[in-house]
Amino acid sequence: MDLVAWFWLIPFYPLIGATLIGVLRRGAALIAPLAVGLSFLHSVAVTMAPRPAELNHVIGSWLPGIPFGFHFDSLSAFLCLIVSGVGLLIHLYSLGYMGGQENFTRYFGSLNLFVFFMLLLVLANNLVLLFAGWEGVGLASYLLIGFHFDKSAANKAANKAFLYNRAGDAGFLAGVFILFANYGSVEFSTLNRIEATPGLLAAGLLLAFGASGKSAQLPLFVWLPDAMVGPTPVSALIHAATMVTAGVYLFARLEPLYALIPEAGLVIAVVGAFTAFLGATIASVEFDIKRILAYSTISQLGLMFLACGVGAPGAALFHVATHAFFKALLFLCAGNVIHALKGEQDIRYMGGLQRSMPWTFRLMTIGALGLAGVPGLAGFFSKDEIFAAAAKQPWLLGMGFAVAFMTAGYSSRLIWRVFLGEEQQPGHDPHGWELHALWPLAAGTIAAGYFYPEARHVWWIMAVSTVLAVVGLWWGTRFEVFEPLHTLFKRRWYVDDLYRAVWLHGVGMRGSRSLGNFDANVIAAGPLGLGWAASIASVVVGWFDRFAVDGTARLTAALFQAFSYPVRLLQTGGMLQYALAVLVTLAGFLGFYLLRFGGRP
Amino acid sequence: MTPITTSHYLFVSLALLLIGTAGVLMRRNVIVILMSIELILNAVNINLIAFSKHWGQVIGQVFAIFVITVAVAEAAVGLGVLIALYRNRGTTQADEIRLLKW
Repeated sequence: MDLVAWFWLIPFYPLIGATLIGVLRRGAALIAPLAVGLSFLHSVAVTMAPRPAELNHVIGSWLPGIPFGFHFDSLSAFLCLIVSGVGLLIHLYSLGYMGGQENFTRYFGSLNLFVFFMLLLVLANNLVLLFAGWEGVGLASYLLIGFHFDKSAANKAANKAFLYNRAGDAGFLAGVFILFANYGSVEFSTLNRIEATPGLLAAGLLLAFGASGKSAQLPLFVWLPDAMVGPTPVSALIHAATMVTAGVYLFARLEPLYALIPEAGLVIAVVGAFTAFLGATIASVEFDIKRILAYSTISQLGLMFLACGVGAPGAALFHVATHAFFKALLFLCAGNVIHALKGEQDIRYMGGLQRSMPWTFRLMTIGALGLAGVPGLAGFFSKDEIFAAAAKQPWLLGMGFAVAFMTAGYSSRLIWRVFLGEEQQPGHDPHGWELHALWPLAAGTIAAGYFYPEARHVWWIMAVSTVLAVVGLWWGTRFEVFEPLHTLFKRRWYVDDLYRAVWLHGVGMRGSRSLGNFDANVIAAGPLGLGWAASIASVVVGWFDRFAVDGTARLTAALFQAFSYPVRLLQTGGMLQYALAVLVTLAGFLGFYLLRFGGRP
Repeated sequence: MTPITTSHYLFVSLALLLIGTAGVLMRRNVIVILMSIELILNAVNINLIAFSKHWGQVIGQVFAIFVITVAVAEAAVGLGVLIALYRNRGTTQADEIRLLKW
């Protein structure tokens, strides 16, 4: 089989896997890593093989003017490799981590579905098919965040994630509609060759709003920390490989389109910068090990948005790749820590695990140093590319530096609180897949920084960020945040509270109350009126029945009774009287006969 | 002495019929009523036999035998009903038993 021509099969291995798991149920979980492994191998094969710059394959016409088509270029190749590669490692890790859990197979089915939708998203050749994958990862994340559906927190978090994504998706759809109305096509090949029109800015901003939902940026980032109630490998999958990178991919895919509207780019950059800052501050005061990593993801994604906004999606994608490695590594290590401590997630109850979990300590330190941007590791290079791209706007660069400083701070705080210091309770190193799946990620964290073809290496930025990383790491060991700020960060800048006040209490409660009134007074009038009419009609019919129908029957009965009364008097029941009557009658007939015929026959 | 003719028989039969009819109508005891009915049947028997002799045909006598047989059965059934009636009602007086009323 010609693997290059059949490149569009890449997403379908996990779909087939998910279907098989769904059909076979028990014991079918091993299909999942196998399917993702096939996707990965196929991606590697297509990427390595000599091929034209763009591969296209249209399976068929889908909707009027919208084909069900796939597109493969270096951008798709890059994301396919990350999604299926990191996804494969997370699948393998899950074999150990989720082993023996209830609903083991359902977990793997959902995981495969997740990878399928993400691969569909990155291989789609038009916005609508991309949107199908976009929605699909939302669905799969819903299934996986709510995996422990018997816990109410999991259900709430799953709903929250789904609803915030939905809000973003509404913007995304509106953007797609505007583009389709203006240009009559949603294919990337067309959209990336268009002229600017007045609607384009609106469409670009709406698409960016959709991306902010999926990639957990301001104003829709609040779902991501809550999504931490899902199983830890799922968090790793969401943060590293699938889902949140979708927004960055969208900007990279539509780079020529966004080049036409620098205003939208500025908005995206500012949103990214603020989100990065906000995420980093919250991560600095959070105590839940997974939430720290979640806010760190929000912050790093903010940096990627910043890069996209200033017109450097290449740098953003580079950061996507390095971030995928070290964030997956950090999450999976955190999973091992949580496992070893039997579900404990609060770093205040951890400490000194260095002695009992040496390998996890080393691996997680590599991940944290990568995240902190220590020179030589992957995060350093990708972050510097973003800063180099942002250097034209000094205040964005300043915010980036502040974020880098805080990132180093909370990374070292995390390691310090969990692995160093006084030992609170002993853990144990994992074995099997839970450990071995981490080696490639650690290798990626160390080495991935050296494989960026367009590296600019701006030396003064490198110097500044090195200093920031080192100072930040030092600051993280003796961590203090000014008290009022601490509260502000701890309350997550009151964003959640603001949404609660505005949407839940302001709009939601009031709206539902007025809708309730509308329902009770206007909508219900119809059924109520019908009810009244029916009861009045039934009273009338009841009268008719009682007087007309029953009356006729009773009158008939009464008449019969009245006329039969004299006849009844005759019927005395006295046998002898009857006999007499018989005799008299016979005698009467006889007498009549004799008188009439005179005895002659 | 005048010979006994068919007319004589018929008069005896008529007398029996009238006596039986009067008994049925006037007596209140059901047993007596049944006995009166037997008289009426025997009046018929005498009639049948008288005419059989008068016309020289034997069919009338055969009928009489049948009537006697039926009368026996009737008496048996009638007395059985009477006993059941007495057990249930505690009386054999015909005018106290008004079961034929609507």
